[in-house]
Amino acid sequence: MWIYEKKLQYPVSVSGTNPQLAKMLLSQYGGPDGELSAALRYLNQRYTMPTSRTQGLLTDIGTEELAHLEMIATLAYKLTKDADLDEIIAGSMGGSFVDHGKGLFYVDANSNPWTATYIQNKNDPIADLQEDMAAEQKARATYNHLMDMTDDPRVLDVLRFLREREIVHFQRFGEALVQVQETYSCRKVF
Amino acid sequence: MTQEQSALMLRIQQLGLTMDDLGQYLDTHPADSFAIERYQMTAEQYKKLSMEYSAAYGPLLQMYSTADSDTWLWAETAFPWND
Repeated sequence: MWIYEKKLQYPVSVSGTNPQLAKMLLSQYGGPDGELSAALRYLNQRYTMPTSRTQGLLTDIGTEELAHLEMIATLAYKLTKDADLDEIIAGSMGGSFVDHGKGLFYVDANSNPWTATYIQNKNDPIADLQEDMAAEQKARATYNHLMDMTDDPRVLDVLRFLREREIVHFQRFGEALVQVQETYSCRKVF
Repeated sequence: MTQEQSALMLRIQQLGLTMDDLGQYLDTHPADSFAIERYQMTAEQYKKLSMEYSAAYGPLLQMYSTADSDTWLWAETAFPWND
């Protein structure tokens, strides 16, 4: 069960219309290391995690990723909503406009559609938590790349926040991994 | 959005982030009583301010829909990407 709360996790604003930046930001919407991948990866792996602690962590981080997905969507929406067709075409979003108008779609920065092959579930907590840690680092690196692509201070503020959350999640998954390893290496007497 | 409204929203967002962060921290540190206490204090404040916000500017949660309104404010007030 989820309950929608009618607010963004962190304030999102942009300095002006910029379809080119929106197109690049879409990588964190429907790209391999984006927020959709993150949310679906964690919320899917949690069912077969061995401890309720790890199930709780994957539920809570997976839920936060959905809030990040909404923030990226808000950025892309605000960067394109007032764009005219010339700006859309100049921002390399002409193809996207033909297929979706100004609607968002789950694609990466090169317009490749989202695919479940971006994520895994091995039903092995060591393998899965290692994947989750790598995913957080790849998302952090993507945010770094995006931050190199813009000088819009408002967008940068949002990207900086999201990058920070990836680092925190990496830390939490690392703690969960250590705890799972300790549980597994514990001698059991029956 | 007026300055007053966005200031209250910002405060709610700060408290919400504190809860998101502490909640995840507590998932891997469930015996940290200091963090539990901080979580509870933050949650109290959050509930208070989010009900205050909902009464003034429209419900943040559907269940905060106000009884004294003759319209369904949940869908009549702006969604966050349009603010």
